[in-house]
Amino acid sequence: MSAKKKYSPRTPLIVKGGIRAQGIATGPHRVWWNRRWIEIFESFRLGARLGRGRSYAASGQVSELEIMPGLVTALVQGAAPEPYRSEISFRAVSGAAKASLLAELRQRPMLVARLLVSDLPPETEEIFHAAGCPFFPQREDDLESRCTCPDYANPCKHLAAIFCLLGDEIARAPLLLLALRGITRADLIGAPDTAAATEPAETAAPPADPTAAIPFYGAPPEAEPDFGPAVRGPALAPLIHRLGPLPFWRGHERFLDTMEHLYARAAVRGRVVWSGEPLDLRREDEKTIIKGASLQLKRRNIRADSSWM
Amino acid sequence: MIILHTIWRDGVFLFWGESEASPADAPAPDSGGVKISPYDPGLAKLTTAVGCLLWDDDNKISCSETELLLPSVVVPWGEVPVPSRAFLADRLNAPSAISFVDDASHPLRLWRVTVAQLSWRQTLTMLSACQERRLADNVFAGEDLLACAAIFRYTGALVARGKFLPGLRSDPAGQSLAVWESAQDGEERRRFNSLAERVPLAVAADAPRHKIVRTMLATLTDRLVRFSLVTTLSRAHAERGRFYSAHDAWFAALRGDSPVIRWEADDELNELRDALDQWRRPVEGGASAQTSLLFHLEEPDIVNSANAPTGRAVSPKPPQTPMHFSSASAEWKLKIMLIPAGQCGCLGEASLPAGEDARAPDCVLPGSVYPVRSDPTDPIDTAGGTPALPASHLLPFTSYFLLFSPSLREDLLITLGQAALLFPPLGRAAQQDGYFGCPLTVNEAHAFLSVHADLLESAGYAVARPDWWGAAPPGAVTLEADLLEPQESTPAFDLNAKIGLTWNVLFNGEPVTQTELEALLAAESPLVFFRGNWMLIDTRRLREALRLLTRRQEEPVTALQVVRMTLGLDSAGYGLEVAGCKGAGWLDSLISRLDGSKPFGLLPPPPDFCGELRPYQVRGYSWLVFLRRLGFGACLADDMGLGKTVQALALLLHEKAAGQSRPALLVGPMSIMGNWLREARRFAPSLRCRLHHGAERPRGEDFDASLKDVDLLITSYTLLHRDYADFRRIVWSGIILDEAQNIKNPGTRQAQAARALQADYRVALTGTPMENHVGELWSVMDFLNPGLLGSRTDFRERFWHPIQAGADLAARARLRRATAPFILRRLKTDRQIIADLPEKIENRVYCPLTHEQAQLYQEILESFQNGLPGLTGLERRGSILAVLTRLKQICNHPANYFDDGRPLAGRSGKLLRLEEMIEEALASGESALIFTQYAEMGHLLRRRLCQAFAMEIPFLHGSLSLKERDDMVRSFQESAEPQAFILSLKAGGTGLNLTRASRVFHYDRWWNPAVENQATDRAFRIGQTRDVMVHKFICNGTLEDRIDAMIESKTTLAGEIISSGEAFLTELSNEELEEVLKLTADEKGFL
Repeated sequence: MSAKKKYSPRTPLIVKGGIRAQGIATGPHRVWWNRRWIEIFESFRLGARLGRGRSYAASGQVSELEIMPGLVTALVQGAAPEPYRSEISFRAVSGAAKASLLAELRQRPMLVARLLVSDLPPETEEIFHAAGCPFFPQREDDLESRCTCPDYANPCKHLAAIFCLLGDEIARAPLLLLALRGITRADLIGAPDTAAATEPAETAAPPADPTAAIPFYGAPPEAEPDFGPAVRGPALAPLIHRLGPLPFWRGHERFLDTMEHLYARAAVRGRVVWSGEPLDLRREDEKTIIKGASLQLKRRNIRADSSWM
Repeated sequence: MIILHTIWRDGVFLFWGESEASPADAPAPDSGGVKISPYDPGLAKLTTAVGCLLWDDDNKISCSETELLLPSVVVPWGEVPVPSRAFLADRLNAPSAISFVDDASHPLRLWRVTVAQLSWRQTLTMLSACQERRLADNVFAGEDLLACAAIFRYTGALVARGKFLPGLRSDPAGQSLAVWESAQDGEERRRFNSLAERVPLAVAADAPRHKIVRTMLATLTDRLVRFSLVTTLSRAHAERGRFYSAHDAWFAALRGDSPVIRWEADDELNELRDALDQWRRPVEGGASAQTSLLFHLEEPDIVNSANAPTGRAVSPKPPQTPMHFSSASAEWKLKIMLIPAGQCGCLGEASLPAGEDARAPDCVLPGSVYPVRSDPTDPIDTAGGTPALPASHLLPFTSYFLLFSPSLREDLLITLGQAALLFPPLGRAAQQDGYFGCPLTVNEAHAFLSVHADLLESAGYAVARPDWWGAAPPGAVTLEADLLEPQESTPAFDLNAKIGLTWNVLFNGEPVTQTELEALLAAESPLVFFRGNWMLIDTRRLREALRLLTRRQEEPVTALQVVRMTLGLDSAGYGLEVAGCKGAGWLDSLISRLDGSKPFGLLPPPPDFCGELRPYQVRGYSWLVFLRRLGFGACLADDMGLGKTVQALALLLHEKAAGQSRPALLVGPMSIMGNWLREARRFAPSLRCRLHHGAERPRGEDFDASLKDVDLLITSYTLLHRDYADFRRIVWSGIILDEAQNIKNPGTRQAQAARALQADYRVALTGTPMENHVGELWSVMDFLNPGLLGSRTDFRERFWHPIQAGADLAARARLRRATAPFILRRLKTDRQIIADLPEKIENRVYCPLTHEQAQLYQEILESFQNGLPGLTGLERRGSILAVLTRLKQICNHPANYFDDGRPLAGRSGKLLRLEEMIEEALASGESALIFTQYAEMGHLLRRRLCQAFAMEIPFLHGSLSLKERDDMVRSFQESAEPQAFILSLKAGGTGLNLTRASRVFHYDRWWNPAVENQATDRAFRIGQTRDVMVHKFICNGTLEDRIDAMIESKTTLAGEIISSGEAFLTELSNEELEEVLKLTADEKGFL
């Protein structure tokens, strides 16, 4: 950022409830495609407008943002009373090119699967290039931007703010990159194209009410009830790991780490109940529970360390 | 007595109770409004009953009255509710118990009852405490409460398995709540449904009931998880923290006391809700999806591969023992298949057809079969056929998934993508040569097998591992000790003797050489193909083993250590499991006797033993001596009636003969102390016994002095803890705990006291099988052999929980290996024992009198004796017969003499002992007949036993109609559960067939054995498959005792008694009469 400015910009009007960049995509957890996005954005040589655009994004100056295939429109509040209308359009694929691209993608269910869980396999870019379509934007070729602000420079700080926000969203949901090229989620999954498509059957009706069969006050069970196993395993918080972090997570605690801790603590209590021992909830024996949980986490880590990966 | 029930109302559990109704409770016929239920226990009783299930410092509860819909029935004076047990209505003077049978035809009416509303903390405590019908003395759980407790226990299981997710819901008031919700897949739903079906109308009267039970589960899940997460800090944060996003507020509310999210912007909350629903969709969608994913790992085909794999053969003798090392280029295949959902749960049901080729790895094609393990915890049962899934149910991924509808396809793809997040190498999956999936390196394959397969499985995916990867993967490194004969000739059985040994290293159970070990380590591969099998390489253990072999310097160990190693309790400090020890003369024979592979030597009965020991009793006694010599505690757990007492007495005599001068201590329930004294006098008259009991018992220094001439001190569990200071001071020669299940709960004072006493040897006697209650085993074993099973926490982690999970067969085997040498249990049904036993075993149960009984007895006797000298002829006879009846009634129960309506419990020694013995019989699944000659006593017994066990116990007596008798007999004979049945000797003594019973109690005596035998034969007749135990109750030191002794003496007098019955007493002189009737001094008020 240049140290001296030729003019000091007027302070923009404050927006309430604007979209705020969370900056979650920075730091060691930055994904490669977010890094690429930022590199491209920085290569546009915006100078001081880059920094201002970032602070616009962070302070929520963007009040509305709409993403359509190949087009992003936004309202950005500047110093003027009316927000500026900004627009970025991308070169979307269509027609035969799109068809062959989709055919190529559908050949790779695992790639699509990873895209659907917010992962971006690097070969995606190659597949787009092979189909003659750019993946990340390049200034001259495939990207046009307009803004109603009086600034003659393009991209202006308003467009820069939009770029920032898009970078954030892309880090969370790389499918957005495909959407900008006109490829939707539905395209990836495929239309209901075959007659043989099996619709999910109606969820099985709940079993008939057997109350009539048992006395009003109940009857002893015929067999020992089956509570299922509850062995210690490496699988702490299996469902959370399966689902991954909540998309667009805005909390200040790290979602997965915190959840793993919480699940470990709950499992300690759960195991007591499962085993049929009397439950002691009198004191907030936080320490015991937390100790039990960290022991479990430690064990898991030891086991994971001993793996050969 | 109170039976506790629960009802789920407005999102909380309300607890209420039933007690027996008395005529005073009967609702007035025409009082308006909703009447109070006649069984309502009232506030005080309910509070006490519920309170005793809560923790002492959190048992304040609020009660109120509410109206419940209960099935009701009309009796002549109006309408009453149908109680959960018919006997509760006994004293309502209703015409017949029949109308009180709980069936669905009774109309529901509103009744007022007292309910306890607990805090959630208390509710969860309460539900966790309700695991059995009997909750505390006189407090029982209704089936409805037990069904809810089972739902709660299942909630715990779900939480322990991590099957729950955070969510966001709105309450009716429109507030947004951050909640924890259970997430169930097909398998979990099946479990839940079978538990939910048990929840009766009493809990949730409204339809649809399934939905109500689901709400119950959701609420319990949220509460249980929340209570585990709330900390002082998180509570404060949830209540007062400042949040910067709806996400933060939601995250905090998940850990607050209240689930309400403190965030104003509704649209953001709605957005978050949508995001959460979208996020959870794969799990929830996956649960209802028709298809799920199966990952199948296939090993490289080393055996059949023509051009041998790139691995090297390094074994010294390559042709016989090929040892290949799977190098990085050997290709493992992870195949991805589709599997119809719901199949995961029933994989085990499909069985593998005969034929080896069925297991060939390359036949994953529709129409063929290959093994799939449904559950990693399932035992690998190679003999019974590997649980397998017909491959026709497996669909190749690529060709099928396009056939699905878009929404299913999306679910499936998301599921697949998530699997790749759990196991990153899956991200490379693509259509390969012949399968969809990805090749893995050996390191990746190892990681998959050891960690990620479990992870995938618990996340709901199906995993098929190679069949050589069992619950314990091949490649265990264990040690075997070769013991050397001790240098100098040490005396036998010296457990401190030092013994030299050499170690052999076993790899997967087979000896390996140092060279082989080095080669295994040098391969630097986690999986190695060794001697025709894939083995897991545990580098740390292999290095340890190698170090042991190279060092070649083995320190001698003590014989005791060897014994512990044999039991799997000592790793000799090498961190490796010791699989066995061999060699070394006497030690070897000791070990083989301890682990039961060789019988221990039988001893001749001790010289002073009066009477005869049956062969199995000689065995038991010799075993007790054998363990005692080794310094181990022993638990003799023979079935009731096999004579544990005499075996213990033989041990005591043996000790005395061996020169023991210090006293031994016997602890038992109070009701059997007298019995012990009597048996000791009979079988071991040389043993000097003393009872430590009563208000005048010696304490302090007197106590020490009183032990001077005593071989055996007999006391009760109550006094064990009360006079603990005195007992603790003495170093006893031995401690014997009778009815050792009294210390099964290690937290009780008596258990703590028992464990803290000092003694040379320890013996526990119990008739209840302990091996079924793993949790209770620890306390008894820790008393017998302190530290043997480790601390309670260790025990819980190592044995209890794994065994309870039903998952770890190895843990069960380990526990058995460690405890089997110290528990001897013979059943009456053992073929060996049966050969030793008559089919009908009779014993006498000597019961003490209570103070009340003794006092009454004395009063009656005195007034009789005062009047006697003036009487003659018929008057004298009449007076004698009358006093006989009265005294016998007092021996039965004071209320049998005069029923003033006071509670029956605790007033009669016989009744107390009967309750204990019935409890034991029912616990071991045996039904019992109880005979009495007094109809009033029969009614009293029924009243008390119904209360004591909260179950229906019928009484068959003369004033019942034939039909009623038939109904009783039929329901007794056909009952699946063990039952008790009271009969009057006259009405029930003949004709009936009651072979369901294998226990017969004669509560009072009819002095003609023929009459008693006839009654006994109701059970002991054709159709009886078990041996019958007959218990005849006798009050110590009373006329019962003496008349019984006379009959036993088999003199002419005995014959007279038998032929003329009690009338013979009228022929005795006043002095003789006094001798028969008097109450022996030390029996005055035992309890």
